[in-house]
Amino acid sequence: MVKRSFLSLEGITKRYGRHAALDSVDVEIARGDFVTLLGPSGSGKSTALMAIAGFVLPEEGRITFDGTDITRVPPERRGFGVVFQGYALFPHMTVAANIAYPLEVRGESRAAIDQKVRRVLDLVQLLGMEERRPSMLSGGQQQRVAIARALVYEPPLLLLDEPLSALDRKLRGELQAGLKALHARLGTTFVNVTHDQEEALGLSTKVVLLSRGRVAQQGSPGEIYDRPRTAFVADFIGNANVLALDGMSQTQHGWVGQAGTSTLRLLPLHPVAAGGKAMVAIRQEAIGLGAPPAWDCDAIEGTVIDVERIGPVVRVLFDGADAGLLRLSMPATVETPTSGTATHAWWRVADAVHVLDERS
Amino acid sequence: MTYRPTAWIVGLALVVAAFLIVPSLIAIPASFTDRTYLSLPEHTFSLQHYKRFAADQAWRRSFMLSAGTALTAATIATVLGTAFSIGLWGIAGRWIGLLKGMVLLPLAIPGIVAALAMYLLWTKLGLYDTVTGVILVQVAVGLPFVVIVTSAALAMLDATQVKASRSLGAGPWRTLRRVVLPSIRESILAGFVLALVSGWDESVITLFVTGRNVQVLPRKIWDSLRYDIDPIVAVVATLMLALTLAGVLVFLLFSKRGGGRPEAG
Repeated sequence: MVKRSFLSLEGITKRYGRHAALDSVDVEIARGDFVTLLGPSGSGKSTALMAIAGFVLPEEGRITFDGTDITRVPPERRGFGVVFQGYALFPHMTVAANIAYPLEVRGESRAAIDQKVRRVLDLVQLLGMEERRPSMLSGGQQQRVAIARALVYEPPLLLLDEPLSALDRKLRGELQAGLKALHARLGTTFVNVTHDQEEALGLSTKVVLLSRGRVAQQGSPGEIYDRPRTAFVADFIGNANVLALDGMSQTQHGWVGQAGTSTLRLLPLHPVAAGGKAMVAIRQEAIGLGAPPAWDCDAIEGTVIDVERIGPVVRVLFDGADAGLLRLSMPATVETPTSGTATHAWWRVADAVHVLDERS
Repeated sequence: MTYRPTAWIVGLALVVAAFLIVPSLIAIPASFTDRTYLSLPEHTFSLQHYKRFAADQAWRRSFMLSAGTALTAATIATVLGTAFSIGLWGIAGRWIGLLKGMVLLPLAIPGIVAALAMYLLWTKLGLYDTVTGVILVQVAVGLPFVVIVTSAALAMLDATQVKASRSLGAGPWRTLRRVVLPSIRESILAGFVLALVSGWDESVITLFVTGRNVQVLPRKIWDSLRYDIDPIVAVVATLMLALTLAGVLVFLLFSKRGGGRPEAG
């Protein structure tokens, strides 16, 4: 099935004074997607979500939904579901009244309202809580009420503004699984905002990584992780090592460059100039210690300067002298290196991804 | 931080409270006097002046007029003050601050200055000695209380609730009616009571802007004291005291229960 564009942001720009919260942002979302807008704080991800919801009017660009321009449609006429940061439940209403509210606004009959409220409470596993006040619920329960309230009128699109950020780590994991299951069951298009890259990679079918109001990269979690486009993406997603190469030159087998005194090979993904510079990103788990095992591996010489075991993984800090510091991550099941050991750090040339020199 | 006042401090506080309150309480025994002039009871407590008050057309009319103007003014002040607070909710800026300051100004201006100003203006506008004129004075006096109490309650209200309501399909008016107003209901009521009480016993300005026609209670009491010293004045004072006290109690009740913050009022 060909996914035709369902929701699209075209050249969206929003300025606050001189500061551009969104700078010519293009995003394409297909029906049924679970999209995550990811980025550090101040990257514009929440502003982008609020523009989709209708609370932020962009100065430039347009937002189309199912082929219609909705850029200037007020939020109450868009019919999307929104789960706000902090949930914004109405404290003077019971759980049932909170969830019934959008249905009452739509003028539905009492009987239909009661039936739909029960059905959605069943969906989020909160039956029996109808008469409670929001203040009497736990954080996780409040979040589920907010989701129920935003889903009860069956919106085509559910927008979630950092729905998990206020919860502790364990609960967050459970609710992430809950969200994923809900998405699979309903087939509704979800747009989620988070600064947590694990959440983004784990939940989404598509990740849009924002930085300083611009889209740094968008694609499936796998694409973004394996093929970061810039040094920023490589660092933000998975905290990859970024090595700067200079003195680029072309040999009969391909491009090589210098990281300090080490000569490293490069598989170009972007234009490279002879004598110029380039950057490669290498994932922490793609690096091994010891003698390079094969011809398709590059290595640098140096010293292990720190070893730290965190549960199932061992984190190693490797000083590659003039090539720079490298962070390594390996399973705790392999032989653990000791601090002070002089050795090589190596990786397969195919795992060194050529990235653009954009640090933010 | 816990602080335990010593006996001395408590004693001093009681003396100050007595100094403030006791003189106004003198009206209560005086209203039960068995004599025919304004005095404390001599032999026995008597209800004769209460009966006379009830039978006196002019006093009854004054009482009803005062109640009527105070209720009308408090209603207007509550609607305007609440609308003002909601309109300026969450907006900051130099002009907004100026606007807020202007609404609160009646609290700061000395009563006699305001009275003089109102007297001159009302005479010019043809509002001198009219019911409308009195109501407008009471609206101005009550408005700051409503604004203070309701804006304090709004400051506590999470603004994303308004966004939530709109995202759920409710337009601005319905959001106001279903989300904003119910959340600050207690404070609106508290503001209404404060406006009512302050309008009800606003005397200085009232004396300046009324003459023979509009005999609201403060005017009537003042005139009675000037021309004779009828003990009915003590009866009226006692009733006013009781009603004001009732109003304050209602206010305390609401501000304790709901979103209104007594320290802001």
